[in-house]
Amino acid sequence: MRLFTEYLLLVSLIKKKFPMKYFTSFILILFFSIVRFATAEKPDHEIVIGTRHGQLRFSPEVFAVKPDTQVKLILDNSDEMIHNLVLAKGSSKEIERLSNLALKLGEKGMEMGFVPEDPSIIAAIGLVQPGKKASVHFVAPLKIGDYPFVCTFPGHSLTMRGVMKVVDDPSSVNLAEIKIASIGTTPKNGVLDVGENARVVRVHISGVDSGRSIAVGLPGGFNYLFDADKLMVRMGWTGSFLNVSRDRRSRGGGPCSILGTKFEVGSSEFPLRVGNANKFPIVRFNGYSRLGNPEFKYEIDGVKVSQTTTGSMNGRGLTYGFKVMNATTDLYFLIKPEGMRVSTTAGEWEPVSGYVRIPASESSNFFISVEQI
Amino acid sequence: MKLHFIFFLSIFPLIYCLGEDQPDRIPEGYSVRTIDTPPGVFLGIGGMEFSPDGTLFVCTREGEVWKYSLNDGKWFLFADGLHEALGIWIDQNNGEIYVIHRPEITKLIDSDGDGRADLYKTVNAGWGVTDNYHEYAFGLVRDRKGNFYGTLNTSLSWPGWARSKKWDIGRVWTKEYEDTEGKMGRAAKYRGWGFQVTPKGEFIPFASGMRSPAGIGINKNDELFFTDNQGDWEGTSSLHHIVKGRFHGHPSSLMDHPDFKGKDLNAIPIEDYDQLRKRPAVWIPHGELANSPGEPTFDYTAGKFGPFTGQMFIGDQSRSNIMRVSLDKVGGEYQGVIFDFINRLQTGCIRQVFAPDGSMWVGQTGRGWGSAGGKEFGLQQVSWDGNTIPFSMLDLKLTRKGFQITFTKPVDRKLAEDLNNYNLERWGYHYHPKYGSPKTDLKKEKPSKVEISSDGLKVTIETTLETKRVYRFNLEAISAKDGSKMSNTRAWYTLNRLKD
Repeated sequence: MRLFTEYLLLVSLIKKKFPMKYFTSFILILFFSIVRFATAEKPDHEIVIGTRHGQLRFSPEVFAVKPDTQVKLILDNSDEMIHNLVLAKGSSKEIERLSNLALKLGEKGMEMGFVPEDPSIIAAIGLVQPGKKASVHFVAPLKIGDYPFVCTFPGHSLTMRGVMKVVDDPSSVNLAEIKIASIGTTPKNGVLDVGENARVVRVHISGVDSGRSIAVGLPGGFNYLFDADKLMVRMGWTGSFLNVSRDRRSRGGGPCSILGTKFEVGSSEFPLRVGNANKFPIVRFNGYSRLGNPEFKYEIDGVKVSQTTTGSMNGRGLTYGFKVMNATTDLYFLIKPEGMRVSTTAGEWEPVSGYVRIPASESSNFFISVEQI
Repeated sequence: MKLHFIFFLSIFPLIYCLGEDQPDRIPEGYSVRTIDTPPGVFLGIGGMEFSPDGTLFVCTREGEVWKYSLNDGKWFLFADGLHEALGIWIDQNNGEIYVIHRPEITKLIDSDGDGRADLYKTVNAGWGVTDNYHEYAFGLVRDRKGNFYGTLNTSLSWPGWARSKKWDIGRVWTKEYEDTEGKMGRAAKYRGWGFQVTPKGEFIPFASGMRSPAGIGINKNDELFFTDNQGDWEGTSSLHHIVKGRFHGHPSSLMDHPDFKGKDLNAIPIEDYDQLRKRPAVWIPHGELANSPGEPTFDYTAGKFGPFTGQMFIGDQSRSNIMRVSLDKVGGEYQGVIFDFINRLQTGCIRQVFAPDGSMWVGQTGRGWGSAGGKEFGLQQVSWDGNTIPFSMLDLKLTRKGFQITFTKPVDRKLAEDLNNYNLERWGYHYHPKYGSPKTDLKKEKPSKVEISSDGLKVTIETTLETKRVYRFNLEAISAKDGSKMSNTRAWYTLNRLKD
């Protein structure tokens, strides 16, 4: 499964054409950074900020520099998602404002690296691809104090944050003692994080009329909602996981909210069908495994199915992995075709009919990818 | 009026914070210890069970299952992501763990041996559930044949509180009463039912007429009991004996009863429902004893928890007390007496379990429902010192002409002989769609005769007997021969049937 995900990633990277407009700005940035680098003195501080794999966290989350010194800040992105880094003046409220500004950039966001134009920004590193590094030089502020930094890529800012401490003696700061965001089982301010392992959480979600919804958050910021009544993925979203405060405060049981950026997945009720695409199957939900990537198990007209779901790299799609035991007739996987791009490793996508037809002979193990165009 | 209410709200926590961790009333020889819960974790306890190796498992309203080692006091997270887990059952032979939560009964399996569940296997999801916040699933008990039992809360039928679009389904008020909004309904299948799940996994709707059945218990003979909370159709909180096919009084559940298929439940007169219903075995008077009773738990510690072996204990979520019940089988049906036992623990009591050493562990949650004691959640251990016999009413049974009270120690004969020292009152409750009921036909009674056994342990009184009444005794004027006072002087006996 992991290999398959990496394969998808590779294909999507190769296929991605680099637009000319990006190229021009790239050259310009390159030019200015060379000029800047040539004229800059050797920095007083060289700070490397990494990203924790699959956790939507910076590492370290705190660093300290002297006032009015030359700083070289390097973002070393070892995560499998794209990140940036924006360092600003002000409190954590300020970085929430900047994150919202970044979100409002909309289509221009990718081009601008989700770095908004704002006087509070001290320095910024634009989008850094998985496995790549980038850096920025700046002069540390004169004023002693804390300066927040954040990844303003949509959906990341809630957990990807840190603090630059400007102090006279950086060696006196015990960085290990400072915690920016803590990953725990008890939500902080109602926000449930995904740590190093996937989370699987039963929850009512606003606007979803089901009493048996299961939210899954995978390390890396891909999340989806599985409906154990209708055996369908209701939606996907990227970024942070869940706000469960309305389930956990007062009498509880309230509808919770997804965080991050939602996308549609085009699925219908009981999307997987056996033998006849037009008949509601008799189903039975059997639970899930949390050994590795969460795997849902159910039966459709007596045929046993296990299902995993992973995200696709553009952040607006997902890939289903199905294992089906002993199917003797063709299977159908229903997808509402409007606005969806569908590919499959078995059988054919028939957009007019709105299903992927999978021959019984190929049904033991197959993958279907759905992307919102 | 509003200002008074706000003032009351603001001083309410203050009143209850004064006593710190100790209850304000507890029998002599008993003590309470507060257990430290895992730091930073909201532990609203919804179920408790000991595993065969003596580890305490706790499931929570926050959807987690925690293990607590009694040896070193350490907590370990076993499972998470469940949906308000309100019951747990552990097989004492093989250690298999089952929880009940809103959507289903789930078996939790640690297949890779790292101490944490990784397979969440659906055992049964035979009931309907919507996003209505009141659709709790309570449990979990299992009989010797391997059948599981649980109870399903009705749906809240109140716009603005129930988020489901189906909020107004199954609300029953009958033609004689105005349709007010403060009622429960049935937004999905089998709300208001007690159910059985067979060893083969078949879901069987077992008994109907439940409103907010927050606790289910089972005795050594596989007899089932549940508690219900005061509200519409429930004049006061109550304890019921579940038998297959019984209707316990709240009509919304009848939507799923085969005999009522397609019938307009509001067109059926109250008298018909009253005929059909099985009256509670024990009324738990609202306001003076309990407002939201939880799980009934039987004391099978063979004396390790004091002199009350075989009796039932029930916690209350609202008043944060523990009550004690002694059942009395009269004419083949259970009725019985309820006493207060420990009054005001640190927060609402909803679950109890007896540890191997005979101490009672009390699982607590107060969040959202206003519990005396003020804390939002907690865990406390009640222990008996193994020696001190508190002076107490041990039992109270119906006789043909009155009642017989058994004491734990000989009574002061002179005080017990005084007919004025029993302060007997009796009353009934309305059965109607309105929320709760005042006491009806309240009468004060003076016993006509009293007899004391030669050992001073039994007192038999004669008095007028009337069915469908609760009889309250207050024996605060009676002390033991050795001078000791009772910590709980009152008893409430529910009289449904007379002795032949």
